[in-house]
Amino acid sequence: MKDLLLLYYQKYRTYFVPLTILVVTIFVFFNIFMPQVSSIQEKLSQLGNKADDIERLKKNLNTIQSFPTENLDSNLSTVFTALPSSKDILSIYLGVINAADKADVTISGFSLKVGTLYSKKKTEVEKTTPALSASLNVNGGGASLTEFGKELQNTLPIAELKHMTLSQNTGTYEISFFYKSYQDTFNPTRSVVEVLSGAKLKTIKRVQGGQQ
Amino acid sequence: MRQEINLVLQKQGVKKEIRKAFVWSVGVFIAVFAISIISIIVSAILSLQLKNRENEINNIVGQIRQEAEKTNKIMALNERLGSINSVFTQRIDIIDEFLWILSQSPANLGFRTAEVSNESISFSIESDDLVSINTLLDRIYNLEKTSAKVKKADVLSFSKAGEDGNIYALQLKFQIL
Repeated sequence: MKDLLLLYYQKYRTYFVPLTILVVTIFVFFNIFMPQVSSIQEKLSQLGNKADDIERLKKNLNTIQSFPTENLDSNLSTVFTALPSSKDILSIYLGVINAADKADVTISGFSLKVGTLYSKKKTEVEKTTPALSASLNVNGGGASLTEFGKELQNTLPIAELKHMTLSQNTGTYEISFFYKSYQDTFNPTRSVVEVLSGAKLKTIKRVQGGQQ
Repeated sequence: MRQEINLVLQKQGVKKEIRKAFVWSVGVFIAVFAISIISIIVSAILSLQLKNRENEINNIVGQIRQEAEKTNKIMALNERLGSINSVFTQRIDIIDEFLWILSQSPANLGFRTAEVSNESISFSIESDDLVSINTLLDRIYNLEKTSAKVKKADVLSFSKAGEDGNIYALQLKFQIL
């Protein structure tokens, strides 16, 4: 056996050096080159993501810096009056009084369902935005009563008139006043700061009209 | 003599083969080593670029954080306006529907009682003007046939009212879409 190995060694010893070089080459290929290739791929993908992040952040910064500040606080106050972040009973009451003044009617009854009640008949809006239901009894002339219903829809906080019964001098109204909680979830690297679109600017004007 | 020549030639052939194998193995090794070095350099360059971009991100985030108060206000304004817009687009304006139905009746007919919801509108009319009532009924009949807003229109009752019997009372109900 030993002689046989010796014979093979004698016969193939000249191939030993190329074979060793080949083994080292394979080692270098799998242990140095391949890991570097996968690392390069990963880094390229990370670079792409970072480029997107930078672009988004630059856009955000640009939007923030160029956003007009003069009406920011008043607009913010208006939109939070239009859609409060909590059940704001006082502003609802003031809104009703304001609408009654505008329509020239008198409120003879006002009740608010403050607790969350199970309601089978939720309108489309109520399915997505929570609301407080109010019942109103109102005295006034026929046209004033209709006008009052219209004013309720235009008043702040924003509301949806669900049911209305009118007779010659009295009217009863069921109305939902909307609110929606707000949580500050701004994340500099993920959030997108938007400029106010035309539709949003129109909405500001519309709710400002309701505030007057 | 011939055998010796053959042996020498065979030995030379083997040597040539070994040299060829050596050259090939060294060549492949150099190639693999070279691309490995290149990949290490590329990887290092990419790491540097990554670090630079991260620094750039931190720099911009720092600038945004300096404007945190304004940013929060803008975010809040956008969120509220989005929610308000969604309420405006989803809610049904029953007053408009009611006024539109009323606009179909002749000018001298005013409603006496009305009940309006997002599914139906019913109202009653009292008048001594039978012609106007008839005009209204005609229009309602057309509305039911032609209007996309009205699903169904019903005359609930038509009666004579009042002490002298000259007042006519009409009760109508519209199912709206």
